[in-house]
Amino acid sequence: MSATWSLRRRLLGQLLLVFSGLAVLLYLSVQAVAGRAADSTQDTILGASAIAIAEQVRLAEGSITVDLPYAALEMLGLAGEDRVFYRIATSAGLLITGYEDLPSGALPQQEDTPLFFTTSYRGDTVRVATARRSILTGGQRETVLISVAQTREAFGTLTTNIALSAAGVGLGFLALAGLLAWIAISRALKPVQEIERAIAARESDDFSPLETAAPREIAPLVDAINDFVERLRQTLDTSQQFITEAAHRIRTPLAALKAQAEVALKAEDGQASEESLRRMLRAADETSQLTTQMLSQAMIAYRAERAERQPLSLAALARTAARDLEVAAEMRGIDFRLDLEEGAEILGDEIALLEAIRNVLDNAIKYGPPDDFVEITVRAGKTPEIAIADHGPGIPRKERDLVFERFRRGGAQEGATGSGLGLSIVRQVMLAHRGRVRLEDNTPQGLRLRLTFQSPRKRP
Amino acid sequence: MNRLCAFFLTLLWVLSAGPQAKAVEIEDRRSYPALNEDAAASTLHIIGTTEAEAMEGLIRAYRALHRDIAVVYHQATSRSVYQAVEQVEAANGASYDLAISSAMDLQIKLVNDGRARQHRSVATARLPRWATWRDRIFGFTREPAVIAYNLAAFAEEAVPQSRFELVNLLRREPERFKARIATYDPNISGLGYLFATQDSLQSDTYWRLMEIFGNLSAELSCCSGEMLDRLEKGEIALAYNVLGSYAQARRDAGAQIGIVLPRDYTLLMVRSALIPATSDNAGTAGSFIDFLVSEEGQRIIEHEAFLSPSLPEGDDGTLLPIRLGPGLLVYLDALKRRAFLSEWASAVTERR
Repeated sequence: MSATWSLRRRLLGQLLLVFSGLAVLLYLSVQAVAGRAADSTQDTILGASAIAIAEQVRLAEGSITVDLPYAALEMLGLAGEDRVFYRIATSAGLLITGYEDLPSGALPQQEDTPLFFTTSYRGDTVRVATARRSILTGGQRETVLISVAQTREAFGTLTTNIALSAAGVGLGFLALAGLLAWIAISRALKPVQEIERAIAARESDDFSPLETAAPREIAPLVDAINDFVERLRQTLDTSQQFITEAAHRIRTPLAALKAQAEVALKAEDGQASEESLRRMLRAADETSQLTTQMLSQAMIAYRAERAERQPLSLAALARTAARDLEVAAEMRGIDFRLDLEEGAEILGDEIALLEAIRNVLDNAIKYGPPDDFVEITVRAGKTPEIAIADHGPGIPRKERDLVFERFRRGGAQEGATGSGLGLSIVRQVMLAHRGRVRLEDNTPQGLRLRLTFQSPRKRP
Repeated sequence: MNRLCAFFLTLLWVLSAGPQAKAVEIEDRRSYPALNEDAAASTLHIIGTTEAEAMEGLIRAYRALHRDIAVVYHQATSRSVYQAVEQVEAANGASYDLAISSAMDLQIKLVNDGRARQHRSVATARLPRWATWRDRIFGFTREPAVIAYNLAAFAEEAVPQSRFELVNLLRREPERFKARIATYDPNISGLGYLFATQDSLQSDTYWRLMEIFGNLSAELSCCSGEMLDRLEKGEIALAYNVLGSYAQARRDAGAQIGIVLPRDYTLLMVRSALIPATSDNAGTAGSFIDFLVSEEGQRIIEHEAFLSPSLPEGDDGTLLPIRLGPGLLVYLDALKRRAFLSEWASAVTERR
């Protein structure tokens, strides 16, 4: 059995992976948005402060002065406890008041729109707003730059807090999604559990199909189980039948053997005894052949079902079978006439198929007239086939279905020893190979038996 | 030759313009050796504007809790305290570990310019918002700016309870108060400047009041102590914007003076402590701050150091603590200061 894994855990893992990815995405996007929002909030306050100061820039006694409004810096203290710097200087760089080394940045184009930028000052990152103001001094126009700067701790904290609460919400969703996924998966797997319970609750001899209501996705599984149960039932039936009939059939020749032995014991003269011994031998022969064939059928049936399929040449199989039975055929003066197409390829188990072909040939030798010939034909094509034709009595149409059953022989079997298992084996092997067996009349007389296979290409 | 000349000139300029480490003027110095002299761990150097006398009780109580620490208290003006912390290089080799000052604006500037060290503790976390900024400055007193008066001078008359009433009284009886009233000179007193600027932010009544002070040739003083001296002696009848904690201490000592917390609003000065960035004993300094804001420290401040007289129960909205925040930087601006003092002069000095 391969290593087990949990469908539930795998589904849940994949779902949670997707959801945690989404949560991270949510955190990052909210952080970006919150960062921009915080920037714009800080810019608004800084800009208002810079413009408020710019409005207080004026000329007093020939020099530029500024009356710093209290609110301009006080308002910066309302949002948080950040450090505040300012610098008021002419565009030429002449300091009017404030922190001399604070950078002013670029010159804003318009008086009512300050420029904003971020820089490093006195070991901290600061956001700077620079406003401009034009003023006339002694007939000359002088531009004054007003820069207000603030560190970003409070706004950074704000951004982080917003992003963290977003991440919290994301994690909440993650937990909720996990819970819902768990419930959903449990519900989805319920039919499987029901099937398991239904199978576990069964008696060992209950082969009826499962009646569980299954969703469309699970229905093939139920069908497959039912199919398997049906085949199992058939196999068990067949074995049961085989055992019953085998017991019955073997009992008969053994009883005959016993009777002959008793007769031989009672007889006093050698004549009767020799005749009895011949009969006993014949009964023993029959019993032996029957046993061999029954065991061979059981073996062949097993092989046909289980053995691995290999690519085989039908012509090669026919030649091998013919060579195996050459001696038996010669004893009756029968020839094999082979007409074999080499391209006939099939998939199958060699031993089972050889046994089937040998059985057919054996029948043809047994039931055909002596000093005759048996035709063996192999045809390639979409459905490769092998046909064996004799000139014996043939099988009447109404008996053709019956000859495939076990221990049954055709109507004209006198004089030949046979178990009646031959064609039954053939049929079983062909069924296992998904092939067909057909009985036809041979012209002018006799029987033609055709074994038709599926093309190997159909079942890769 | 020219190049050499230029070099020496540059050198001269660099030397003269470089940070000038001026020696900090110390008015009073008191040393308190560690109680447990064998295990003396460190010496805490405090520089402060608070009178050494007032600090003594606090320092002794602190030393009783931290027996292995010696304390040296250096008393100086608020400008000197500012300079001592602002100078990156310590003037006399030893750096100060704690700076205590009533000049809230200068203290805020030190923090804003990155001269103070962060300190966080359970004790400081309990401080109200107006009493701390950036976890670097910690207010530990609330001292009102009050109207103090000589009891004898107001024996037969109701004492004005607000600025408006004071303005009316002074207008009604100018002869009685001519040259007999006093207030801070904001030109020479940092605290006086702080009170004056904050007053000017609160109402226009302040300017009307100052004009009358000018008209009545009010005395301009450097410090609360001096005004209280003159009040006690009866040389003046009334002083405006006196530090309430000092007035309370005088009255408790038996001086015949009265105190009015103006009903329209009363400014509260917050005395604050910070740890200079140059301190090499910041942990001990932090423990001293924690002690100042602790229950015991506050009890001593109220009952022994007389730094914070009992305020009226329940705040009815007239008590206005001056917020520790960047707004205080505005009046430190040189242009702003010049403009304010010029306006003040035209209101007061030039009318005398």
